[in-house]
Amino acid sequence: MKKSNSFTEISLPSINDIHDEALISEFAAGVGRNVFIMTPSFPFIFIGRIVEVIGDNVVVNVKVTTIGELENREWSVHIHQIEAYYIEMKGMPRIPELNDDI
Amino acid sequence: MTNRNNEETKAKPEEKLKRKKDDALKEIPVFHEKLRINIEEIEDELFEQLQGQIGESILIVTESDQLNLFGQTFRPIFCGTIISVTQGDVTLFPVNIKMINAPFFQFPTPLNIPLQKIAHFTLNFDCNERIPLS
Repeated sequence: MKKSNSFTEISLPSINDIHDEALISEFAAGVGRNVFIMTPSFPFIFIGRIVEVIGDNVVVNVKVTTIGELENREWSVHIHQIEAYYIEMKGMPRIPELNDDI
Repeated sequence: MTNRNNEETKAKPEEKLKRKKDDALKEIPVFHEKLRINIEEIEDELFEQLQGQIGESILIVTESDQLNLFGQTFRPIFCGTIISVTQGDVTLFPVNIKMINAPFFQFPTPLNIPLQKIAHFTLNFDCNERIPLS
C-alpha cells in the first residue's frame, strides 16, 4: 500500500494510557508527603515519605514495611504495580504508626 | 506550509538550489513544531460513571489473587464509600477490607484504588453484608 502524503504518526492516547498517566500524576502531586502502599509483591507494604517520581516509579523513603531489614532505605516502587495506596491529605486521617500489633 | 509565490522564481542560483531541497521536502509535508494534544475531549466513561457515584457505596475486587497486611493475607475485596474520583484512581472512605477472620475490618485511613487495578466492581453494595470467603 502506498503511503499517503497526509499520513501522520500521531495517535491519540487510549483510555488506558490516560488512566496510567493520571495515576502517575497523583504520586507526583504527593512528593514530600507520607504514603501507604499495598502491592501484591513482596514485601506487600511500604510506608514512608515520597521522595520523587522517576518515570513510572515512585521513590519512597521507607520507614515501615513487613520486614525490619528492608526498612529505612529508599525503595523505588513501580506505580502500576500498586494495588491500593493512600497519600496523606489535609483534613484526612494520618497514616497510623503501624507496628506488628495491628 | 504556504505556497511559494512568483517572486521566488527570480532568485539567485544558490538560493535556487536551497529551494530545490526545500521543494523535495515539501512533497512529504512534515510538521516540525511541538505538538500538544488536548485529551479533555476524549471521553472517559468509567471516570464519569464513578464520579456520578460519589457518596455511594461500592464493592471493588482488584486484580491480584491476594494481598498481605502485616502477615495477614486476604483477598483484595474493598467495600466503602466513594469520596473522590480522578482519571487515575478512586478513593474510598470509610473502607472495609473483607478479611477471612475479620470481615468487618475497617481500614484506619482512606484508600485509593487505581482504576487500572480494578478487576470488577459493583455499585450500591451493603458493606455490612457478610460474604463467605474461602
